[in-house]
Amino acid sequence: MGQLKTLTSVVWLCLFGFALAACSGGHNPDLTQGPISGKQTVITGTSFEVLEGTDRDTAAGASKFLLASQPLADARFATHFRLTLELQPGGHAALSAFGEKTATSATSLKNAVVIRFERPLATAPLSVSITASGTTDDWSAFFKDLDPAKPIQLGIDIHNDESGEAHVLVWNLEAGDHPNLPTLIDSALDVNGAPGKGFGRNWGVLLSNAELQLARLTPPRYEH
Amino acid sequence: MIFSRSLSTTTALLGLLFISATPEIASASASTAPAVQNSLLYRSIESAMGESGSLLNFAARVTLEKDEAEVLLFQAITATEMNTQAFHCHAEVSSTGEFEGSHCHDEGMGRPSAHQLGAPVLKQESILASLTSALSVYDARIAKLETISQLKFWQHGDELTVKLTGGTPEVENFFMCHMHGSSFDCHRSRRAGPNEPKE
Repeated sequence: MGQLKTLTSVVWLCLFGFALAACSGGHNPDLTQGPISGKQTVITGTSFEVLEGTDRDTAAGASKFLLASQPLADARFATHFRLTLELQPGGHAALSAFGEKTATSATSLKNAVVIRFERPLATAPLSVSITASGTTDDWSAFFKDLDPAKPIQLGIDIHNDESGEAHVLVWNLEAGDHPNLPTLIDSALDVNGAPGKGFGRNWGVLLSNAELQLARLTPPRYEH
Repeated sequence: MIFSRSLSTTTALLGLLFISATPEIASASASTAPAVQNSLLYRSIESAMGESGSLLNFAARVTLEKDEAEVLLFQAITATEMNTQAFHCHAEVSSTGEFEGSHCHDEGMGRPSAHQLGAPVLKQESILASLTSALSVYDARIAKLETISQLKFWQHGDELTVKLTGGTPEVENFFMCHMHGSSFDCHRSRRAGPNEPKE
C-alpha cells in the first residue's frame, strides 16, 4: 500500500513537471543555442545537424560539427556567410564550405574550403588559416587587429564559381557594417589567391571550446 | 597620331569603366589607374601594339631598363601558327623633364612557329583593360610600379595571364584576367595559366 502511494506521488510529480515545461513560454528559434533533441540546433534562424566527435587537433578534446541542414544551391556558387564566433582560450572554430559529406568523419567535410580561427591559450593574436585542395595558407597577419577575447563578427564571401580557385573576401563587422567597409583580406588582391576551391554543396562550422552565436547566409556581398 | 590619341582616350575610358565595375579594386586603386596608364611600361605596350598595325597580338613580353623598354609582341598567323615582332621603345620626356609617352621602333619580325591559341584573339581594348587592372593591383597591394623589371602576358582560351616580375626581392606575380560582367579585370593567382608562348 505504501509503495502504491509513493508510485502515485511520483506519477503526479512527473505530470506536474511536464505541465510546467509545456507552459513555460513560446519557442523562439532565433534564441535557441543548445541542441534540439540532441540532433538539431537552430542558430539565428539557420538550422544545423549537431555531430559530435573527438577533435584530435586540439588538447581541448571534444568538439562538435554543426552541419547546415540546408546545403548550398550548387558546388559552383557564390554566397556570403555572416558569422559571430566566441572562442575560449585554446579554442577554435572552422567554417567548412562547399564540401562533401564523408562517412569516415563526423566532424569534417571532404574537399571543402576551410577557414579556421584559433584563440591561443596565452594572450596572443588570433590565428587564422585557410585550407583548400590540400594546401593550407596562414592568413593570421590580416587578422592581427582583432581581439580574440571578444566575439568575432565576420562577413565572409566565398565565390566558388570562378574558373580557378575560390575567391574569398572577409570583412570585420565588429564596429558595424556599411557599404564601403574595407576587407580584412581579399584573396584576389592581398594574396596570390585562395589555395584551391570546394567541390561540394555542404557547409558547416566546427566548434571546439567555441560557440557559434550567429550564422546567416545571404547573397554574396561582393558582386563581380 | 590621331589613331594613337583616340586609342589613349578609349583606354582611359575603359579604365574608368573597369574601376566603376569593380568597387573592391576601385577602392584599392582608383588613384593608381591614371598613373598606371601613364607609365613607360603601359605606354610602350600600347605604342608597340599601335605600331604593329596588327589586331592579332595575343601575347607580349616587355623588359624594362631605365628609360627604355624591349617589347616582343606575339601575333597569331593562323589557328595553329604564330610569329613575333620586336620593338625598341624609349621614353619621351618634355623639356621640363615630364614623361610624355613612349616611342617604339620596329625591330623586325621573327620566324613563324607552332602555337595553339584555342580561341579568337582578344580585342586590344580587353588586353589593355587587363593590363590596367593587373598593374593597378600590383601598385596598390604588392610593390611600386617602378620595381617591375619584366612583364609578360598571354592569352589562353578567353582568359589572359599577366606575369609581373619585380619587387625586392624580385619575385614573379601572376594575375588571371577574364571578363567580369561587362569588362575585363584581373585577380592574383598562385600559378600561371597554360599555353605560355616560348621565346
